[in-house]
Amino acid sequence: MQKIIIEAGGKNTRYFRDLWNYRTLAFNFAKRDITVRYKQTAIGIGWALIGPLLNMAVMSFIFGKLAGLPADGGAPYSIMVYSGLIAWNLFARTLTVSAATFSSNADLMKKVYFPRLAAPLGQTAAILADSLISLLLLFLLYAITGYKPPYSRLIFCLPALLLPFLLGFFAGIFLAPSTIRRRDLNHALPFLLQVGQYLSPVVYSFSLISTGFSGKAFWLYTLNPMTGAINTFKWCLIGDLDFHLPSFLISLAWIGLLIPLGLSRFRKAEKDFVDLV
Amino acid sequence: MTDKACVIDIKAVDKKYKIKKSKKKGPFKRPLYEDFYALKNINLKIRQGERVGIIGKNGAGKSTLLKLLARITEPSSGRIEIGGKLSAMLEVGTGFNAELTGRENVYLNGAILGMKKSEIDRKFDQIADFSEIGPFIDMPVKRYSSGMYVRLAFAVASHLEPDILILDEVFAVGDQKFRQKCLDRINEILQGDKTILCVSHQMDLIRELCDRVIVLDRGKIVYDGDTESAIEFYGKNQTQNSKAFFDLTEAARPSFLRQKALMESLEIKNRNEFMGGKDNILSFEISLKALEDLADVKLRLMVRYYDDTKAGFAQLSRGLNIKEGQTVKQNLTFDTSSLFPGKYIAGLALFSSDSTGKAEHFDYIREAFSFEIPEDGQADKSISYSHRDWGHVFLGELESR
Repeated sequence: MQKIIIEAGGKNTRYFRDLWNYRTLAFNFAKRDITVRYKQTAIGIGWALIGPLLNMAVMSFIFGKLAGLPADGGAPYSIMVYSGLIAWNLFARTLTVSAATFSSNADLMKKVYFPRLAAPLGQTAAILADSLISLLLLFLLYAITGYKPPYSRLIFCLPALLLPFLLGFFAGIFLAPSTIRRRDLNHALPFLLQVGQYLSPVVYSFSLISTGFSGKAFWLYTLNPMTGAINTFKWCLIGDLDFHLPSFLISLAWIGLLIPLGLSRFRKAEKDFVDLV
Repeated sequence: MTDKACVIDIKAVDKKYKIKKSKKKGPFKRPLYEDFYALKNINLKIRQGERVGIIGKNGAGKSTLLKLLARITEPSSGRIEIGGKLSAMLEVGTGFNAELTGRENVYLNGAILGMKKSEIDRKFDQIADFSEIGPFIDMPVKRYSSGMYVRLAFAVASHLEPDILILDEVFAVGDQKFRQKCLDRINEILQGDKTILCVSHQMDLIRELCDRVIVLDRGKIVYDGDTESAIEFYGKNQTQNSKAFFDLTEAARPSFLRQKALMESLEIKNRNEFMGGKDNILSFEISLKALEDLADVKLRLMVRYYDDTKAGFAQLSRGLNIKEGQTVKQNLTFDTSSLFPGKYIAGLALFSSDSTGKAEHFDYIREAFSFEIPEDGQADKSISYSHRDWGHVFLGELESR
């Protein structure tokens, strides 16, 4: 018979096995989020497309048409903005949801035990599903604009989506403990993310930065973990783009740093957060 | 019983909370905290197949103990060993989503309680059957009546297959018929040497389910024994704490209350005579302070037996007028001659009502003070006052004509 030992500050060596046993729960969280989000709407899941689409239209008009900025690798401006937005939205929403996981699931967590990571995992999986749907629309954009994507590396866009996802997830659970006692961060995050979007090559091309800035300013820009994530994602979808290895490696390094930091901080907080909310 | 395996072993467990001592002074200043022990040095062994009830006053640490066992929070010190699969029903319907259908909620709630998909698939028909929801299973639960909602929630929870089951006041809702069905279901689960731990204020439920009862008081185990003697100990223990003066300023108020008056204190004037059985009129003085100008303020006294069942109410219907900031001391008497002997808890409500019957509460305390009606020394000793069967009120001697 399995024996559970509960001790003050005790290490739960079976945490990840527990988490695996609760995969049904994570899956159900994802399903709940997807089902509930589009209930009682006329076009249902279509809203997952309309949001980024409208955003793309506005951004392309302002930056492409009015400001006349160049797009990456000769692609239509709309395709560049749209692929940038898919990656950025995935990052921003994953981060927001996993940072707020303790407060948004407090009622549940006060009543039932489950490995707390199951909640943000399920909720962010639902966001990942949204991103995949938006990605489908990109292929429609290819057809409309007549742009020929780089077929040979198109498939890599799926693993490349993991970069913004993992960055958002582990940064989110790293921040989550800071939202337990004080909710200030939940209010600050939207502003910070809005600023972050303009500090990453989302609505403009990376070449604009690499040619416009040099030396320290350029490297500072590249240190932003999302620079590499978006570059890599765009590289999979747009031809005539060089793979920017340094920014990609920096993104990977951020992920490597955030995984242990995020996990240890989250697991330390989840043990007694119930006493604090 | 002692030769059975020990399934729960609690050793020297403390649970400490930090309580805010002072308000914080600025946005980044930390308030001062002081320690509060919800549980102190708990040692407890529970063997397989035991049906253990936990009773005690509000704040005695019952729910905290269950939360530790259910792994919702961890102890501050000490060690707990649990052998076997443990499921907790701390509140049925946790995690139900109003937008989802009954069917979707069964899957979601089942997963929350730790069931695997294959397990829910297998039990789905049983669950739907048990809940008596019928064709509504594919409607969003926000369209359910509260009865249907509770039935479905209980149906899911009761189809877990744990070795150890933890229950916390889950029978507070539902009609009598369904309640019996739930009890039968729990008895069914408990066949085959399952262990149960149950917290309740309802002594009849404890009597029905448990064969061992633990009494908690201020975070400590003060009694551990068979059901009847534990309930008796609990009742007696309550009465020893009878006081004459009750400070009401810090008493718990409902969170939604918009307080316009403050009931400050209550003093029982004739405590000794009353407790000695010489006097069955309870005479007390209540001190009220108005926070606004209030007119036609009425006072209601709501009496409950110590096991939390309702006994009745008394009321001061002649309204008082109190000016803002004014403190009024009101002497009142309450005739208790129709109450059965026993320990009672009284709540107080200050309110006003208009001719349409709409009432506004100025202050409300659910548990304001307690008193005891002593056994009548002259009474026929062959009659034991069966509160459970007869209620708490004696409607009077029958006259023969």
